[in-house]
Amino acid sequence: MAQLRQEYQEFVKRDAEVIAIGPENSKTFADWWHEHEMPFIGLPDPEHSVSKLYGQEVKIFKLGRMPAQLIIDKKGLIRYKHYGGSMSDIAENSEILAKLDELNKEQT
Amino acid sequence: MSDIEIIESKPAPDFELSDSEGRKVRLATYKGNKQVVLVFNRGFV
Repeated sequence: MAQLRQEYQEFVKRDAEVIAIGPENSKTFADWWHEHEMPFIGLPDPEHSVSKLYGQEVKIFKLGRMPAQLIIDKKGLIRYKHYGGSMSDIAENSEILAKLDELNKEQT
Repeated sequence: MSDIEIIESKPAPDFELSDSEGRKVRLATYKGNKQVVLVFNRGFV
C-alpha cells in the first residue's frame, strides 16, 4: 500500500483509479486510511461482500490467494489479475503500470 | 512470488460500498471513463 501511495500519480497519469478494499470494519478502516493519508479510494468491506462476489462470479480467488489486484478496463472488463504472495508483496507497480499503458494503447 | 496473469476478459461484477469518507462508490460509474485497479487486501491492522 505504501508503494501504491507513493506512485499514485503514475496511475492517475494513466487514466486509472485505484480502489482498495479491506476486511476491516468501517471505523478501523477509516482510521487507518486517515492515519496513512492514502490518496485513493478505500472501501471497508467487513462482510467480504465484494471478494465473495468476485470469488463466485469471476472465480478469481482461490483460498489463501490474497492479496490480489485486478485491472478493469474502460469497457468494464477484467483484463488482468495479480496475486501477491504476502502483504509486503502487494505492489509490483511497474508491472501494473505497464499493463495500464498497454490497455490505453489498445483503446485509442 | 507474484505474477500477473492474462485472463479471459470477463465483465467485472458491479458493486457499491461506502468509502472511508462515507461516500458511495459504485464500480459501474468508472465504465467508459477510467481504468480501475482493484486492490483486495487481507487486512491492514
